[in-house]
Amino acid sequence: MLETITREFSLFSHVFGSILTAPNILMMIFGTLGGIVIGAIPGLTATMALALLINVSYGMNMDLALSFLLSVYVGAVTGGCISATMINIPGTPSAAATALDGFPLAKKGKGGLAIGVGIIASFFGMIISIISLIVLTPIISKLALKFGHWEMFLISVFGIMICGNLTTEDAPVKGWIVGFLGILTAMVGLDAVYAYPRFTFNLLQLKGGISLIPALIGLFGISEVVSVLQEKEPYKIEGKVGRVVPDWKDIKSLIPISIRSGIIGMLIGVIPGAGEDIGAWVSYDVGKRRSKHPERFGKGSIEGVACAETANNAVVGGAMIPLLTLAIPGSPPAAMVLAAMWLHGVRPGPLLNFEFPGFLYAVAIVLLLCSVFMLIWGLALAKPMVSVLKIKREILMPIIVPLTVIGAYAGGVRIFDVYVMFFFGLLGYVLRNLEYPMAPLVLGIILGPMADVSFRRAMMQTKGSLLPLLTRPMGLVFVVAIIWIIYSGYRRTQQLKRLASEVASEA
Amino acid sequence: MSKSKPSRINAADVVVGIFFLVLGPVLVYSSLQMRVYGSFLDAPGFFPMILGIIFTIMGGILLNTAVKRNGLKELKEVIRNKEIVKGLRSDTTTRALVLIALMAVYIFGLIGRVHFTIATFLYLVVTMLYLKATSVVNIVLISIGTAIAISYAFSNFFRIPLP
Repeated sequence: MLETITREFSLFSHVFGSILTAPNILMMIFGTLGGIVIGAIPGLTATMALALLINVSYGMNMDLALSFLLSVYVGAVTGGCISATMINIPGTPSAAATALDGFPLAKKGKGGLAIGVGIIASFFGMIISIISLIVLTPIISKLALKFGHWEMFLISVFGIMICGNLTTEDAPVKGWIVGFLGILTAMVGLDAVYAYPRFTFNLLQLKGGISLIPALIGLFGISEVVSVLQEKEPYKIEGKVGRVVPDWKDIKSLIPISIRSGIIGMLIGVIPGAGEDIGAWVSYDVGKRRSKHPERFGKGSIEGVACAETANNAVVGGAMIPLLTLAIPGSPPAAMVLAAMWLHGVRPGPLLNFEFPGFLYAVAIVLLLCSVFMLIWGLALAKPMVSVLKIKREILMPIIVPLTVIGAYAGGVRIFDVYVMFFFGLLGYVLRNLEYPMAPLVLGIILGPMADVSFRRAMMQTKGSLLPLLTRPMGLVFVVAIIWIIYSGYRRTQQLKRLASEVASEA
Repeated sequence: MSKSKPSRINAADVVVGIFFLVLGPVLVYSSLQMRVYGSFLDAPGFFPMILGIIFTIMGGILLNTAVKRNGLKELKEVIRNKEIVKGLRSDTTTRALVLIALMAVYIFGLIGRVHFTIATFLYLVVTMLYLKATSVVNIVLISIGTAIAISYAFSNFFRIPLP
């Protein structure tokens, strides 16, 4: 035991030393700042920013790339609260719950205070999720080492099903369909076992499959640009910013709320593909029910801002847990981080600790430092940052398009990837308008190859019989979980149907 | 299609449900046409075939749910009232279609044929002019500056090849 602790401490110190270099620190300082600016601007989401920046990190070493992408991720999730508070439009979807109380506070001239509380709460959320990341990742990794092909297949299906369930408002089947559409997308190209071309339509370019990064850039870049620019209504900045840093008494009162919200956010982060916005909504809902003053929620409650902001940032660390242990991203921006890790030759999964010892610590240290820089930048620049909101989206958003083109092209240096990006951009736009979530689609594209190969190998092992597979305890847990998700989805659909018919009959 | 008409989502779900009801069997059929090497259990078509079955089932569920939520009635109204044509003529849809068309011209018509900086400049100028982003002089200056800055930064600073 003592030997293990000594070894881990020595590894931690070594990794800490390697992260603490001037280029890495500078990258984190400016990356966090850039992230906050991106997060503050409506239309520029954390996912979009990371999708565009993956290929920019190509020439960097892994530590620098990690510092770059994670700092933007942390900053962007936090920055969303600025626009949510000042113009009632969340800069990123994760700040949607923040707007409910942030904007009423801004109307009362307490916008600065709401932003300050949001940033401090975000910091608390990050710390809780980083501690959870360090504690839980080795445990889940050990468990994941026992997973066979059958369990890996089931975990892919579980991920898509639960993600589909959580990300759709009306019918979970819509989330599931796009999740499986993602898996179908991953089937395009030479199959992983026999190199047989599937759904390539005799196109040479499709034999290598649909490249992940162009697809992600299209889904979150192009579709976002069109969705944002099709609306004409200008933003209106509400009220004066006022004081930013809250009193010590207010900060102290936030601690218990932040611990609860941080744990909720972290747990939501662990769920594949669920994401920061769901973490914030769940935490806000729990916070409202547990509050001594639920009547203040939605009318300018500091508690409400803290609940949402702690949880959305806690998702960041939580989302890293399944990513590092199972190569399953816990949120759409984490999917971009996963793509970047693959680009740099790092293969997250149960063997990560053997192949890249200390990588977990590197992620945790970078997240911790980024959280500190985010806190400093956020509190210091909350007031000037509001002026960023004055930049016209009609100028800003078209500039994204050339960046998407470069991002899609750079990975494979193929113009075909730019076409793929455009196609997925259109697909994303249509899906948004038809109210289909995009997170399950991304998860499907990522998990598709694993689901395919694992399922076929599991079937071969049992010569096509499902019975031996059902005797495996971990597999059985996942089977029960999947059945429960389907049942809960069915129940939710029925409830909504009943509600709709009641409303119709009343009308 | 438009968010301003959420009641038409059920009609759209009917169409999507039918689409997946058709796609599912097509997938199953094309999977069965794929080569079997040793056993069908590890054949390239095995998993896509299962996906085909899943799409058929889910397409059916989606269609059923949408129909029970008055999706068919909505669809009939959409067709009868020529709402698709009206929707295409709406401000929001026109704006989206023009923006997509401008992107398509940039990606398929200019990239790879014209120097990246010039292609980007042309795209930005035309798009910002269409959006009436600011004054013409400012648009031209912003577009020139952005096109040069992006090209220079990515090719020299990030060392990323430009299309």
